[in-house]
Amino acid sequence: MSQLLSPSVSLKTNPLLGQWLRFESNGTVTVFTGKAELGQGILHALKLIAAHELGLPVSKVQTEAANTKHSPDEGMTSGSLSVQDSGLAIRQACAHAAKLLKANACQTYAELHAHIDPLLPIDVTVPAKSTAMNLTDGRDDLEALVQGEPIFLHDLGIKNNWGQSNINLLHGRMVRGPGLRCKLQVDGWLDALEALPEGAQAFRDGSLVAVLAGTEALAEKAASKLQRLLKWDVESLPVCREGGVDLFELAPAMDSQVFHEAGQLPEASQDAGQAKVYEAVYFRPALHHGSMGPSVALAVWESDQANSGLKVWSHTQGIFPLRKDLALAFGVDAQQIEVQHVRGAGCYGHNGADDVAYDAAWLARHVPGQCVRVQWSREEEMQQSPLSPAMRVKLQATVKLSTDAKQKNQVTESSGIELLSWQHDVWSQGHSSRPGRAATPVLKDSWQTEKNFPVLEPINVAAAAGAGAERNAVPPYLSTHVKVNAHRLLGLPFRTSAMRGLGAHANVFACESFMDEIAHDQGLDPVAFRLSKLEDPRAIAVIKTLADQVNWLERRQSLSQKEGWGLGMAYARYKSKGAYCAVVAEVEVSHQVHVRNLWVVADIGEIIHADGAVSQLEGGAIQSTSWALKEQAHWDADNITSTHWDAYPILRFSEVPEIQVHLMPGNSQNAETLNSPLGAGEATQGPTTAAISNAVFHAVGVRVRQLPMTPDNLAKAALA
Amino acid sequence: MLQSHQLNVNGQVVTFKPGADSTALQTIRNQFGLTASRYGCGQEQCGACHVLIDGQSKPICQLPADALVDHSVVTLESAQNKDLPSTPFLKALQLSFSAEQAAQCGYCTSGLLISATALLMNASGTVSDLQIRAALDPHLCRCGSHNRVLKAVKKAALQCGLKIASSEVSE
Repeated sequence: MSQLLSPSVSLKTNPLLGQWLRFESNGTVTVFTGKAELGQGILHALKLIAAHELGLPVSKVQTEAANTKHSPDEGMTSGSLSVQDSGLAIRQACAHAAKLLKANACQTYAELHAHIDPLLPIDVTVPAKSTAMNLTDGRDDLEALVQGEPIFLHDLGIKNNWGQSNINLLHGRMVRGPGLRCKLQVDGWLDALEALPEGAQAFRDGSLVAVLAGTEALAEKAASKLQRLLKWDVESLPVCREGGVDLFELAPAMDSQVFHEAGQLPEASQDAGQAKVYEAVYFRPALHHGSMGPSVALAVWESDQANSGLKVWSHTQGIFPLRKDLALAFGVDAQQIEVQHVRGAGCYGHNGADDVAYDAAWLARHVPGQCVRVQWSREEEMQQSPLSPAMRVKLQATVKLSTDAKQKNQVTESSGIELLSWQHDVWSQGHSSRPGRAATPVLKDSWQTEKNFPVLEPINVAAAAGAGAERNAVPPYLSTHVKVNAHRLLGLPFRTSAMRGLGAHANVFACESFMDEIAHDQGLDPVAFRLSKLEDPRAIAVIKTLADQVNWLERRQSLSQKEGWGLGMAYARYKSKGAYCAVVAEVEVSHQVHVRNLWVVADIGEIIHADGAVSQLEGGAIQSTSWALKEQAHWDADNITSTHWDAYPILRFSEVPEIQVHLMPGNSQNAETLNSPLGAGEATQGPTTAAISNAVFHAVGVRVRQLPMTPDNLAKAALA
Repeated sequence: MLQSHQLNVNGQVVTFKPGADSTALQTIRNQFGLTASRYGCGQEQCGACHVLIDGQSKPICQLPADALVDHSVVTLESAQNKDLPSTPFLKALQLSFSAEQAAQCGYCTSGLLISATALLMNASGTVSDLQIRAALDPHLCRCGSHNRVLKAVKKAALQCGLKIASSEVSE
């Protein structure tokens, strides 16, 4: 009856009990994790897992923020994997600890402390509790947030509540040239230094320039002075039409590969007359992370010796990968560096956190023993952080009316058409420039120095890790032949990297729009059509539950009578192996699209913290609505120009739809039917955008294949 | 009458070093150590830095500290001061935000609480959904906690004795 799960990746890498748990003398248990709190509430979810397994109240368990000195190395906090990786490792460690408590006849974990060796390997054969988790405690860190306590890295080094500024802290500001890619004309350097305000210092290595001062104001003043005086050579950016739709023709090189092929391409049959070929091209522009708090970091070197220690405080997604790249950039041993994670503003992928950590460490190296804080501006955050790449998707399918074609417009599993072939071509730059993986640093400002580190081309993560541009490119639907071609664009000047869902957003948008287009053309109900092409019972259950909840057929029928209103649906299983998620969107379309309601149904397997999962799905749906309706990075010949919130608008309070989230029951007293927990953070990104697009088509008969669905793109699609 | 380098913050008279900061936000954070007001954009476009100035919710990321002399400034840390007229509203909001789990990363939370406080303390009898949305519209939230925030503000409004008017009636 108890569950025995295969050891998580994190447990294989960090097999010792002491790497995960410490039994305190006051009876509490401290849980270590290598995963970072990014605003998603992961530390809380991990605490609930531990408390449940240890049989302790939640108040008796604490988690410790990740630090390279004491945390298990769990790589990145990404890909909706923290519960699977860290959570299952902690569950196993705690199951073992609970068994040891009994075996040693201890009353408390404080007593157990004396009986066990922290180097004891975790026994992976101890079954975890079979009872479902029923802890509903809310996130206790929210109390500190609503009280405005200084819990962000942005607040570190400032003495709280009427204290004085920490006089040892030096403030750094980077001095940026006028282009995304530019080189300093060094002959003007000495003259520019003359103009520095008193008390400020400036440093330069190659084209990397920054200033240090005792206050933020002085550092800002010095930086803007240098910014005005220094001259740079700027490399031109490819100027694109319509948000980058032709970027794909401008890429200097392309790496094309067959990512996936299955089944046999059917030979032209006798009844070829009944087959119909569909083709459509979809586009999603480059997007910004748009974290609310621009990136910040603190760093201090112990001394000016080659073997000096370096301590860095960062809101990175991966303390160990960052440490590795810092070591490469500074030519020191990774063991000399300690990276302490402190939370920043919400993080949805590879933003500027790692880069600014390098900036702070680089500046601090000039002033050993002094702690340097570097704060990026909003403009830097938008220009210097990696972009989520623009993506183009072309879909082609051949469908055949089967002889028993019938039962149109009903939620049924036997719609009458067959998919004979399905081809998905995706063009995109790579979706990862993350630290920790290359032989040279990915930290972009290190590329500006005289060390001449190569500028690295963004890569796509391996298929086993969920893929990058190809994520969710393989359709979930039955087709006789399926082929996915991936075309990685090379040599473009944009640094692109991972953002919430990677390629899944554009691929699901394309695939689910295309399914809707085929269903419409064939006169089929889009829900029934999907159900007829799915075999996975969990996928079918999610869609049927959603259709029931929104009263799909009736609501769609009645909205057809209401001018400008429409209902659309979309489905995806994230990464084809993660959470199942289906979304229905209700929209009202005038000259622009208003999303009025979203219904989300998700199967995330075992539910660890229901409210936390709902919050992640809800937040993902709102963010995806924002991407779908409003967001598009833009640039001119020199630099990225979407540098502030007027130039890069996101969804506001007056525009958010009502959202209802339903979780499929994942908890069961019967372990045999208990599905492993799956991350919820990225599941809604693709289906929400696609559902909105399908609803727009239902509302006004206009198929928007180019995101975002702005009034401009809507008007263009209407005229197409 | 305060001197030129004194401010009234959270009901206390405090002295600041003039000319040391480029904005009031820096003064409040770095000189007074009141870090609940946050730097988000520096362009009055995101709402993360809002404080109450004479009972109105305003951004302070472009305003010089001198501009606050002779005005009453209230930050999120003011909740400990029972004498401020904003405190009962702020406390009710803090409780309801916590109860509704109305935050993910929470970077925008302080600004939201400040604007919601201004709305509730300046309301006469009722607030509507549209009024709440309008009051919070200068604030950006990237995690998507909007609906929970709206729910939390309504809950706090009721607790403060206000009525929630239906949107149709209110505007």
